[in-house]
Amino acid sequence: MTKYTANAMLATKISFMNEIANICERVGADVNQVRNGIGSDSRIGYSFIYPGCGYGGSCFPKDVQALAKTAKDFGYTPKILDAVEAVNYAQKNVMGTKVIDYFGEDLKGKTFAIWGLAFKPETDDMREASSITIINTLTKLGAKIVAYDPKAIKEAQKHYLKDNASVSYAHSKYEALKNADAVILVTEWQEFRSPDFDEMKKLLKNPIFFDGRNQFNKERMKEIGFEYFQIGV
Amino acid sequence: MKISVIGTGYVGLVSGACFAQMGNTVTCVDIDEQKIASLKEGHLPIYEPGLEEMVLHNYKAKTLHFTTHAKEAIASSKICFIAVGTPMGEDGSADLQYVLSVAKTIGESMQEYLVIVDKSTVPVGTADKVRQTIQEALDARAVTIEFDIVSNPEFLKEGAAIADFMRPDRVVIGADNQKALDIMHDLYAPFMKTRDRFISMDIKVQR
Ligand SMILES: NC(=O)c1ccc[n+]([C@@H]2O[C@H](COP(=O)([O-])OP(=O)(O)OC[C@H]3O[C@@H](n4cnc5c(N)ncnc54)[C@H](O)[C@@H]3O)[C@@H](O)[C@H]2O)c1
Repeated sequence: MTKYTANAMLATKISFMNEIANICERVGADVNQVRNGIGSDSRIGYSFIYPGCGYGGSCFPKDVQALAKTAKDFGYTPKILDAVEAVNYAQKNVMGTKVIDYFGEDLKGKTFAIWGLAFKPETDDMREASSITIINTLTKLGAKIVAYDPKAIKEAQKHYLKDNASVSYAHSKYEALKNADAVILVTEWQEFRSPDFDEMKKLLKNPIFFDGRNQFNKERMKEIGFEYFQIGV
Repeated sequence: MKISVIGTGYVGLVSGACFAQMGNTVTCVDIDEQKIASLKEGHLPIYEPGLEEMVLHNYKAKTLHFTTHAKEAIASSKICFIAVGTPMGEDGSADLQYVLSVAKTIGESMQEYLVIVDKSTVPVGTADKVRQTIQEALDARAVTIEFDIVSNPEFLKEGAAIADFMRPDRVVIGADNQKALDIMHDLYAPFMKTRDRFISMDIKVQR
């Protein structure tokens, strides 16, 4: 029970913040500022309130659902746990939707670079990763994907994306950008944190950056010359 | 202490390597023959910072062994960890078939008092099912051997698994018996040098 509660609490914080991000986006607020504002409250704290394109991995998704099921088995219908899962499910599609809003429903002839496949940095684990949802959404509409991840490419080829013929893989983050219509950052590996933006602009067909992990400052990105989209802004 | 770890996935391999690093003798067991064969050749199935060095070092030092033979590993250990997967079943609940199949093997293999530690993430009440499964297997052998079931959920984060395991925020132990609790405390004491982060609680027994 303790283990399930710990994971459910963490997943709840993430889904809560993602919900706030979705509200911010609609009312014209910037979730990054909101996050800073609330994190400084020691009762809230900064950890696990980072908005993004949803949680994945081998633990949170299955543990939240298993706890919900246990509750139901014992005659209690969980409301928060079910909502945490539903928000996360929808959140994995947010970046894909932004890309579609920009490029339209027909993505034939478009190529997108994906930075990061693993469900989080420093692992090659792709179980329930948001990258899978985003990639499959875009390729279904005709897009081609060139993906790069420091560790998880083998996993993707072996299992998670092996049936998706529209995906190819690059050896470096820059190689993935060549002639791509936009780049989509999905996993916040350290090597994606200070990329050479000039190099990026040279390689990309258009300087368009979809950031699923809110890694950069939007004003700064505008100055550098990127069309920059993030979560909750 | 001699330890067997059944299930050499993320959690099993990291736990096994870390226990070996602390001076225990560990045997990691898996039914996946290919996984065990490549581990013996020094190829790790997952990427995790610091894990490869630790595994290779302890494997060379013979403090960490890999095998597909659960029986011998269980028979010669004092503590047996269950670290197999508990994937999501069709109705969202945790699928316990792997955990219970390991429990059966434990009952078929154990030779003397054994602490069985459930490290897999399992719902409340699972300890009872594990106990029952082991007891049935012992009964089928017509032997009486004492054993205790302990719950010890794993809180490691992928990507920082070694650091989390070697310096845990807390070690949660669910047990209904002081002897097993003491053995678990001995096992984890070296990981909590600066501050005792041992949190013990009772495990739910069938009412
Ligand atoms: N991965 C994590 O970050 C993490 C963290 C904390 C807790 N957990 C929990 O730990 C448990 C294990 O997770 P994991 O990620 O290590 O799983 P995993 O899928 O990586 O590994 C499970 C291993 O068990 C083996 N196995 C299955 N049946 C077996 C049997 N009868 N005998 C021997 N080996 C057998 C499989 O071949 C596999 O190698 C799960 O309950 C999970 O919820 C995982």
